Amino acid sequence: MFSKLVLRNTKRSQKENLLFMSSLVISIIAFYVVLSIKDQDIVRYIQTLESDAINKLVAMITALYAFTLVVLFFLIYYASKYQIERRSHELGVYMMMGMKRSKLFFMLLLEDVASSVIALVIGLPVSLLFSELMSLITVKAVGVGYLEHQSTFDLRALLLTFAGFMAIKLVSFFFISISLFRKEIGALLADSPDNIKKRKHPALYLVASFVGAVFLAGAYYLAIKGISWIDLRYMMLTLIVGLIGTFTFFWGIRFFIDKIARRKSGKKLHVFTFRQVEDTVIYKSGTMAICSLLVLSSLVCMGAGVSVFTSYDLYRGHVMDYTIRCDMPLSEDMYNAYVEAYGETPDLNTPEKIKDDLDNIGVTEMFSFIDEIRIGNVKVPEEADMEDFDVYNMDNAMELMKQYSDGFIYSGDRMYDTYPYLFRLSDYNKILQLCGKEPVVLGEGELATFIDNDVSRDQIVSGFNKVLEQRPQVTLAGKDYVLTGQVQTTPVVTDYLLSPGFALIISDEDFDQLVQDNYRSYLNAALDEDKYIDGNIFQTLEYVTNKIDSERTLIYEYESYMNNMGRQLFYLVATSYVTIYLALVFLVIANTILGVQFLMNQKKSSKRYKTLVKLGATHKIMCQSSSKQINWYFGIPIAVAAVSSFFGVRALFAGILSSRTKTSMSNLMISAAIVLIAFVLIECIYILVVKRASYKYLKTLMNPEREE
Amino acid sequence: MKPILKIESLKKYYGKQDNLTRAIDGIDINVMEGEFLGIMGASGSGKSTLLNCIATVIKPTGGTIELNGQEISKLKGTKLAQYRGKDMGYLFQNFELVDNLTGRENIMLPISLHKGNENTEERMDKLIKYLEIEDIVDKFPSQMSGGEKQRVAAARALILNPKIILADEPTGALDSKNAKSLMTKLEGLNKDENATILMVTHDSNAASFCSRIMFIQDGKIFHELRKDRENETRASFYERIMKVMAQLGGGSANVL
Repeated sequence: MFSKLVLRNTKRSQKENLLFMSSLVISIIAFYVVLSIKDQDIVRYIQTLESDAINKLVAMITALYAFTLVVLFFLIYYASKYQIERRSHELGVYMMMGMKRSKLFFMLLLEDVASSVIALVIGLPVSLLFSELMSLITVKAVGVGYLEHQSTFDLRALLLTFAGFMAIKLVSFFFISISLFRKEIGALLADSPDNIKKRKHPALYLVASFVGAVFLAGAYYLAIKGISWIDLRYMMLTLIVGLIGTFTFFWGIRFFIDKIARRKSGKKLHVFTFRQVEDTVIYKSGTMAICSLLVLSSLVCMGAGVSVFTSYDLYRGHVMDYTIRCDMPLSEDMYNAYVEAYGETPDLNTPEKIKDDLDNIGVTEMFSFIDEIRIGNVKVPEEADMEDFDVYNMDNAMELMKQYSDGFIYSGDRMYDTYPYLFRLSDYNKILQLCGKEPVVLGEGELATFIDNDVSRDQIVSGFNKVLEQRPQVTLAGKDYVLTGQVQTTPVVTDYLLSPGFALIISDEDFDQLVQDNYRSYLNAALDEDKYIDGNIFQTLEYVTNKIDSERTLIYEYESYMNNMGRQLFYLVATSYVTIYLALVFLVIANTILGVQFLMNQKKSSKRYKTLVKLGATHKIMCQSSSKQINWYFGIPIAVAAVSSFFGVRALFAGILSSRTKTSMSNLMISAAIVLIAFVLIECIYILVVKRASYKYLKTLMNPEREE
Repeated sequence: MKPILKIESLKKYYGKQDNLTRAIDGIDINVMEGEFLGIMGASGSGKSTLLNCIATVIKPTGGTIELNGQEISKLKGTKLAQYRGKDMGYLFQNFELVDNLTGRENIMLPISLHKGNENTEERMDKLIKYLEIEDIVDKFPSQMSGGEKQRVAAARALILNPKIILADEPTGALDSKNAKSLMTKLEGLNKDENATILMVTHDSNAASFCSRIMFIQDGKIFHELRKDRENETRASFYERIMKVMAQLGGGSANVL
């Protein structure tokens, strides 16, 4: 009899509550997806390029799993709370009939386990399917669709999903049970709203909403001006100001809802609708603020994730495909000493020798460009007095830089080096020519500047370009020069074989005179796009790299674009996966909490709706009122979050996201549109589901009760 | 006077064959326009079932109920809602005020549902004044006493000037002072505004405010009393009611 009751109740719960079941299934998918990230094709591929990445990823998955456990706990908690509270009357009746609390607890526990099992039976296959789809779509989107697909099925991930899900389900069940069993039977039997709270003077709410808005504006200012990013204290200050602002604003917002309720309107049940909205704001202002913050986090994460994914150009700054470090040139004395000692010329990896080697293994024909770049430093004359010899001085330029850096992130000091790198003009111009850029032209006594692509934030480049317009005077090896032209950012090597944050481009004559033999050559090569294997750069790079590596006589220190791309891919995949994943989790939780809170409140207000029915309200009128309430109940936190997210995303761009993602406006607009469509779609689905549940519940109230 | 509410051969049975309960067993009542009719009876006599049938809360097994010549059991959808909200005003034993609306907003609820006319605001002011709820009308129900709540509920029942007011034990949750005050107001409305009121009660004191009383026993009309408007005092009418109640079996104590 008891087991039949449990089964019947479980069956009825599944039928009646789509929102609850969906929340459980979403939690399972969220767990499995995060745990099986490392089994995705793209991640497996990154592992082959950047073995370090996998360690970072494993650490990230553990942290993300722990975080997911915490946030999904709230989702399950609210969904389960609603599920149990909607049955409070029924549970009260069981107790009236003499069922012991322990037996009732056991019955609910069995029902909870049964619903969990059903959710797992539905959720796990869906998770596997979802994970497979994600794997297939991402490799195509990134451009490595030629990779052989491997199943993302992972038993460990499956077991951890099961364990994590059951753990949060049971913990939330115990919390809910404690609060449930503390209630008197009478309280369980009566479906009444919370006791009416004493209303404070309206002016207090007005002041609160104003203070909240001021705090929020303060947080926005700190965020978009980049002040939050100065250090952790400012970051915490922004967070605290923002949190106080949001909570205070939501506490005070009832002032405006009360005003709307009191406004005369010809619309049916206008006052009732807004008093209901006001009620939820009064009792649940904290929950609404939390949901608003969750939606804000979701929007910011989604904005950042989609921006990274759509605007991140794997090939940005891609000029060369290979850079091979050549051996240092030997001075004449050293050369002669070597010949004398070994009776043969030294076998150095000179640019010419490397070119011959590559030709011999048959890869030269794959290149459209192969040339050296000489990078050196000023050679201080042996007789020079270091006290007087001014190797480099750009104090004048740095002073100007402080003026033009606009108080933003001032990192000008990184450009100042006692022995700056010097690029030979003709070598650098060949690289510029390769990527179709205008060559640098230098007059007598002129130098051009180079800032590395990674260092060159837009603000620094534009600030320094303004400095260059002033043609500041600098001293190099005791000679006076002026800095001229535009800042150059085209990289001189494929990846990180050399990382000159700042360098000067100097005429060939002056380079030879000032640097002499104090330089090193790097042989750069670029693949011919027409000779890409199957039109795919990844496959071509693999082919050429295998050729070089398989020739044991070639001992080079070199890098290929694969390294760069591996790192870029890891950054791209990790950033976009994590941010989009978190965005969806936050959004699902916020919407579920809002939906569940609304439906719970509606259930508690059933007496009010019954009165309306007795006064002649039709189902249609009540549904219209409910629909409007849902729109407002979801709309208020979403609207506040939307305003905040505008500043939040701007703050992200100002602080975290590198200039790489700040691509053209059109790309950003596309990203914004994608975010907006996805967001609106998810919101619409949630609002529709909640409305449907609400209408269904109102239908049950349509027959007035007999009063005997 | 013509009947505004006409009930003919009304039956409401529960159960089947051997277990059949005849809650109402062929009742005929005519409620005249401007009449204040009371329905009295012991617990389980069928008086609340009768009111629930008129209020369309339950469907009768047989017979007809007509309001102004319109058969109410045939009403559906908007017309049924119109009947519940506009043609009929309902005064509940437990007031049924919406707790998160102020008194004024509660009174406005029927207007919000069924649209009033241009005189509605004027009528509301008049009712508020008549029912002496000016001081509490902008408070929430939780800030009102039982008597104040019932007077607000009365204003809500009357705001759309319904054809008939159904009152279900309106004094049931009130103390004697508030009960008398409410009944005086209802009597005044009946006399001054010609409001038609059908009240179900087991309170002989409340019933003494009515102009006619029908007594129900076992689902049938057992007796009828009519107050002589010209000569009879309320005290005398009360005595006559008590006598009938005694005949009903066990006196008022049994009824109460």
